[in-house]
Amino acid sequence: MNRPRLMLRPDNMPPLWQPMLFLTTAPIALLMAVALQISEPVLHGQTWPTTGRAILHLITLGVFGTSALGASIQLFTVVLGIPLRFQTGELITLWLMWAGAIALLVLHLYWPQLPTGITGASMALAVFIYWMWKARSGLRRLVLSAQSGIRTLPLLLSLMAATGLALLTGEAPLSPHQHALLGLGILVPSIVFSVGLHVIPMFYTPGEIDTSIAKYWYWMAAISLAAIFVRPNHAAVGMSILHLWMAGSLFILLNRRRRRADTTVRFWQLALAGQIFTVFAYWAAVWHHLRWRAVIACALVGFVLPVIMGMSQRIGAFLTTLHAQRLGMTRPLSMRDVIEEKSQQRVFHYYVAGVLLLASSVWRPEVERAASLVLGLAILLWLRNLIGIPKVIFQRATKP
Amino acid sequence: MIQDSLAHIHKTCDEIFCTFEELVHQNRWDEAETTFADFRTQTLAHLDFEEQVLFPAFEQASGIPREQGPTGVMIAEHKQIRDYIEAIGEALEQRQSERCLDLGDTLMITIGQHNMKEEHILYPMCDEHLDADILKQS
Repeated sequence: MNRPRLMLRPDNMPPLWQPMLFLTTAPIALLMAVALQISEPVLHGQTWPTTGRAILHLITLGVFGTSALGASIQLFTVVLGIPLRFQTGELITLWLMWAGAIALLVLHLYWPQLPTGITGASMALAVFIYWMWKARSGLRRLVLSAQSGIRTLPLLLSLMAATGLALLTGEAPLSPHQHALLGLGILVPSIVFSVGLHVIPMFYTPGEIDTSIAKYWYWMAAISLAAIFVRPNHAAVGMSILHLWMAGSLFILLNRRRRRADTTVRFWQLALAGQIFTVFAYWAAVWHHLRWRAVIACALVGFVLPVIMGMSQRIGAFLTTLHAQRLGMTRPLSMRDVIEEKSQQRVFHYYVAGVLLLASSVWRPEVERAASLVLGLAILLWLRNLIGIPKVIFQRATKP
Repeated sequence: MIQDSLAHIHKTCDEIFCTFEELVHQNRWDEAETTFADFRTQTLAHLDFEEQVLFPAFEQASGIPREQGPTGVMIAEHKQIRDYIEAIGEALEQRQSERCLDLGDTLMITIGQHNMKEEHILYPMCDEHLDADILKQS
């Protein structure tokens, strides 16, 4: 008998506050990043090596990392039958994440000469501890999983941690560029792709899906990964194919039968368009001297953040409906009762306005700060939607 | 295989519900009612088969009691699915298209994650312990 499967038990279902604690942390970390960007705009300023890296780590670890962990608490139960209960591992992870994020800000403000990688390492360590903690019960199942994206996660996380450590100690012949390519080019898209393959069909009921596409992802990612370390300049070819193929696959999945307007779908579409745009920006950086910071900004703002912002609202609303009975609500609750569609649309519209302003700063650098302010407003509205969930629960649960 | 056969039923029910949503979206209420009745009949029959035949047989063959295993989780979610179907039926009677579609969105995700648990976790376990002949009782 497969032991992990036996862990799918009624008393093993994680309570709502556990994933929500992680999901709500994400916009707060992003607000920190935006505050830094407003105080010292990095796209056209001289502070990229310090502020830019601080922002980059706040987004990748603080926003993407915590959201992915929060979602995994629920998703892994569904996909792999490994319930991730909120135990010491999760608590340590969350504390380390917060310690890392706050230390990142404090170090940057008071001792900017210190490498930001130290605090990045704290947050990376948090993620690493989390996975090693999970390994006690579920690594074998993870490794043997048919899901290529999930199967490669422990390897990719270990590689990220190792390259980050090597950069900190200065011992390895490795550039920050390779570390960033590994994270933003392979690791984050792998997570998005493997999650997307499960979540999009689950949420949107598309037509027939050939799940064998995951196998091709696995091989393309492996080739691109090798190229990053062996011939970094040639990695552009493999990475481009990888990302265009991934965006195309998910676009096909999003061609759902259900045609109702849905803001999460809009966020996904924006993310995939942002991913394709990032590929072109990447080529522009390789051949036409576009600054690498612009490519990274494109990947973060165009691809990573829309996925997280769209999905966290959807997941938060859905989990509330899933826990409705346990929370004392007797009448069925719809996701739009939890977070109104209009509120989500408002977040989306402000976010798109911020992205367009940021893109226009390539030609008009003076709008960069204004773009950050608009993005900050979108993030505040996103946070408001997430922290409004307990209020909805309270109102509904106390209704006769 | 139990897994393949029951996953096919899931897919069929999803397809019917998508058609129902489309009809509500177009305010074709009479056709929507017929399609929803079809969806309700097929889905409830599937849930009943699982609760009355498949799960008890699995619990007996595997020795995993309901309270400590996946069947307990599935039955709790079945109740939630039934509640949503009933609520959509009420909204449909009152011709409340927005309410129908709001609840439909949530039902589809509830069913989606529920089906994934069954197809990835429970049905493979059923295939380990039970003969596919049990499907003849559906």
